[in-house]
Amino acid sequence: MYLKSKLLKAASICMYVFTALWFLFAACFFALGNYWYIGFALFALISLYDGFVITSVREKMTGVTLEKKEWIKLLVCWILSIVCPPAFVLNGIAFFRDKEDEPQEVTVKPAEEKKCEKPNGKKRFYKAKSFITMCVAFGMIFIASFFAMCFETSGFKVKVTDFTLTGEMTKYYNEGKIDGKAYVLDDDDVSYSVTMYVPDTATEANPAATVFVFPGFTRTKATMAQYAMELSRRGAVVFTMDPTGQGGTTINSYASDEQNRGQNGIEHLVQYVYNNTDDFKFCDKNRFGAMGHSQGGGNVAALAADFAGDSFYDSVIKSVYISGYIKYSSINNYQNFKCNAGLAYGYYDEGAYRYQTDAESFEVAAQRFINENGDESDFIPYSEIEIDKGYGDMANGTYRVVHREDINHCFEMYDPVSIKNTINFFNETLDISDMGGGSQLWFGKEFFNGIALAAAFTFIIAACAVLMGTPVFKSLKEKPVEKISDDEIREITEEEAEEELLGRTVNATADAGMETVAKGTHKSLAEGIVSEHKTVAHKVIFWSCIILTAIIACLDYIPLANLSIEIFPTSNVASVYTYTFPARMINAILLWALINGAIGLVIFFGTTLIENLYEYIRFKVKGIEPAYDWDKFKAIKISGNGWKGTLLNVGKAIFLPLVMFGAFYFLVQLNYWMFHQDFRFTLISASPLNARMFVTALEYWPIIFVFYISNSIRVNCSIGREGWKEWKVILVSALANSVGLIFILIINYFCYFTTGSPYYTYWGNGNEVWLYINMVFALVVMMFILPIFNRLLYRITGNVWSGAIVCCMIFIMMTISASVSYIPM
Amino acid sequence: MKKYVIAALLVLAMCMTALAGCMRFLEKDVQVTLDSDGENWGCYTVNSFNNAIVPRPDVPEKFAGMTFIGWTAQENWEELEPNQIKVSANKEFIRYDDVKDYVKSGSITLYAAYVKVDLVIAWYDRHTSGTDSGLNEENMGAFKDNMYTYLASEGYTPENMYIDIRSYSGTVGASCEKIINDADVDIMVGWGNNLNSTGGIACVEKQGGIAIGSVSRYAASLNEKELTKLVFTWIKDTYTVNDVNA
Repeated sequence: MYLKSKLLKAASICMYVFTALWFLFAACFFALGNYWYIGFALFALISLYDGFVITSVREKMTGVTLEKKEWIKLLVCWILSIVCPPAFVLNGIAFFRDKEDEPQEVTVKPAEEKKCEKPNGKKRFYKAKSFITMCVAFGMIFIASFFAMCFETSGFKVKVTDFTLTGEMTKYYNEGKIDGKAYVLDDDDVSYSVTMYVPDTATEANPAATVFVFPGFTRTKATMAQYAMELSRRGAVVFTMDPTGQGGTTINSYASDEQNRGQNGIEHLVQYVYNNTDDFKFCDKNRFGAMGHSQGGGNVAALAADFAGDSFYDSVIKSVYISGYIKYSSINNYQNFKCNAGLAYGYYDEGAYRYQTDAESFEVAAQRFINENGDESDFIPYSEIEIDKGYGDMANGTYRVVHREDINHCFEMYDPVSIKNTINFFNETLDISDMGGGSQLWFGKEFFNGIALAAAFTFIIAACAVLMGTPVFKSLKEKPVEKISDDEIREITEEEAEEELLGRTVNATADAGMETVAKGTHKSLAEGIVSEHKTVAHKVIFWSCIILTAIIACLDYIPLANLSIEIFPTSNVASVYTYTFPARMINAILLWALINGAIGLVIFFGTTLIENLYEYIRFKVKGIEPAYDWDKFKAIKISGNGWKGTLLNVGKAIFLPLVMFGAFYFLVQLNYWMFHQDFRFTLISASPLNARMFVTALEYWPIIFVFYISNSIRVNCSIGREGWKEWKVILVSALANSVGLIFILIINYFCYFTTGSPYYTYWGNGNEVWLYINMVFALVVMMFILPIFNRLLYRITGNVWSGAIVCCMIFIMMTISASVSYIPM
Repeated sequence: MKKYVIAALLVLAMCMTALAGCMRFLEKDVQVTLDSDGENWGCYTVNSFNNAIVPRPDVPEKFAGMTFIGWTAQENWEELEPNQIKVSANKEFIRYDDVKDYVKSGSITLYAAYVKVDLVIAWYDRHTSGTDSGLNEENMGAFKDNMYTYLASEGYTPENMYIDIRSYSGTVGASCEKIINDADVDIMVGWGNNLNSTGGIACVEKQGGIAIGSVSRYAASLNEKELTKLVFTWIKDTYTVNDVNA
């Protein structure tokens, strides 16, 4: 029987693995528009449920010979396990095995001893784990940021400073018009946030080449810091700037006039630096370059054309590098360049599906880029273009090179090869340095910024634990003082057990090898008995809910993103500035969070209701004592001594997250003041607050909170009550919350790599939705982390609200700060 | 159990790394040979991430007076009615999408197709929050039926004519550039007033207030051919909703 049990266990594990594989197949076929996906999804469900029943049969085995009912179950399961061939074989062997094994020595594994602190802990607060963790995390933040600063300043050889470009500043220096145009900001309320990198070697006596680095749509200048770092450490002065509506740039309207817009501000900045002979003597005005990614690439292309003058000698921009942008309007600018130029477009750039004609495609753009080089001599156009090959002559501004790195759109600025090509281009065209572009150190800054981010999150959680130990917040977790009945004593016992890491208890009986799992959700916890109907039926409901919510989250993301384009004032028409939900890209997340959060709540309360109703019906029909599970709702309730105590605790439950949010962003700001560093890792970042982003967040928090509280309830009142070890609770919660988004990426990119076109291209009324998929990369990580935070904070605070509130505030603030907001501030 | 999960995650990570390195192997190269009346016009490689810019063939003497309408995989295209010939979306650009359904053993030959084109009408297939032409396959289908009825009443036999009603998408600039490249469009419908300034189109006549679909847009005639003038006049008479001239 021992081997039989092992075989069935192995079979059930195989079935669970195949469940995941069949869902993967279903996603792939869905991506190709093939209706076979329905069949694969069914296979996945059969595999999953079959595994549950096999597990149930195995758990109830008392010998090699099964009872008739169990034997029939196993037979049916074996047949159904054809959807998982390895399980089919294993189940078959197990089914026909009728020999008893040799007697095995029974080893009784004692239950894990609870590690507990001494009652009425005399431990000093500074010896508490949470306090130590908080201090260590605090220290880590600053140590990591210091090292990040070392990388950013190239060992303190580069001075990094911020300044704000205002209308007044541009007007003051507009006398030196460029090609007869002023490029001034008319509105004094408008300002652009700029960061300047000045190497020690750049002086008035030895002015340096100057490069303007411009980010794309929704990105901030910090996302281009790697270019700034690499160029500045080679001796170039670098300016990076937040474009209109993004980061710290303020603007209250979107001027329709091209000149007033100044290509999202870059023309105002270049004009200002070029004409300002007072403050920028260390900039060599004969060696100005510009580089931009995506929309930023289009902006610098227009900049180079607008500032071209009549010749290479006259052109303000001597070198321009356009990354990730081949729109027709930009292609038409190539002929107007009077400078050396580079073009890069990711081989796997998702946006390429829009450019598949003989007027507008990468191939056409590349050919025109090389051929329309302003060479007025007897230039013979090339019919075929070689990638990575330089054409033309740098000395007369006709040099052209096209690159096509193996990277997609949103990660191009983090691709070492892309960065290398950019650095080499400017090295050669602006005569910056002999240090090759392959020598890169920017990832050191990224790494330490990431450490700081992780440490900041750790700090917040530890700080919460420390605060919960203070007299002010302690009452939040204390049970109300009232007469305790026997039932409540049993409840307390279950709660204590629930807070511990529940181990498995092995029944030291003749049934060697069998284990029973103590379920914390069942009244008979102490006895460790699991009733059948709770095991299989409960598992079916539990996992079906997880699968259902994941499928809904996967399939409704893009339709809701499209809906956000249709219903909000700020849509694909970027010129609408409004106070009504002005964060164009976040509106998609707003709807997605609201709808899926609501669905999560309905499913949680609905299934609980149905389960308890089932218990009631069983009691009425069969007289079986009902095992109601209303305890699930306990964590949702905030209790206190009387209504005043309850009200006070509600206030504390809200005040605590506000304190934590304030502490987090105070740390961000302090860190920025000290080291000029924020907390980030590639697409995920926490940057210093500014008024326009904060006001924007105020609108989004209340609505998106529905998702966060829904997740907190699911993690702590459902998954957390399955009686699993804590690591499994956290892992399942994290996966359950992110798997839907992961499947969006699987569907999109499987279709992309198979057909050349992403799955999500146009939607609804021809709206482009591919950029919303780029957002999913960061969203997946945050949705994976969120349940972990919700769980940890619940265990610290004893309620589901505080964790949800602080996570909502911090995560949404991070997301909005890293995106675009058309709020007129 | 914990070890198994960690092992599984490690295997998953390794598989994803390996898969990332194998992306190129998912691309299926297709060798495209271009044939114009038996003459080889080049061999190009396309795949899901690479297209090919191809030359426009000179019209062979055999097909003098006809127009090159694109590249087709149908070797017997000369035996087909003009409306039955399936050609590539672009004349000077071959995409993987154009050939993927016809590829055998990784290669395909495309043949230049020439027909006597009577009339080409371009319609703007653009539906965004900022620009909506109001035109779609359905209302252009109704337009075609009405036009055929009108031509029949004028003594023409449209069933025997090659009248190409084709869509152009993308921005005004890109779509008009394509029309210029195609060099065979007679009438344009659905664009805005900027088809000259932004699109670079040189037209004989342009009129606004034309609502073939749900939106009032512009129509333009690009030459003075008799059939062009006839159909353009009919469009103005039939679909003008308000008197908006160029």
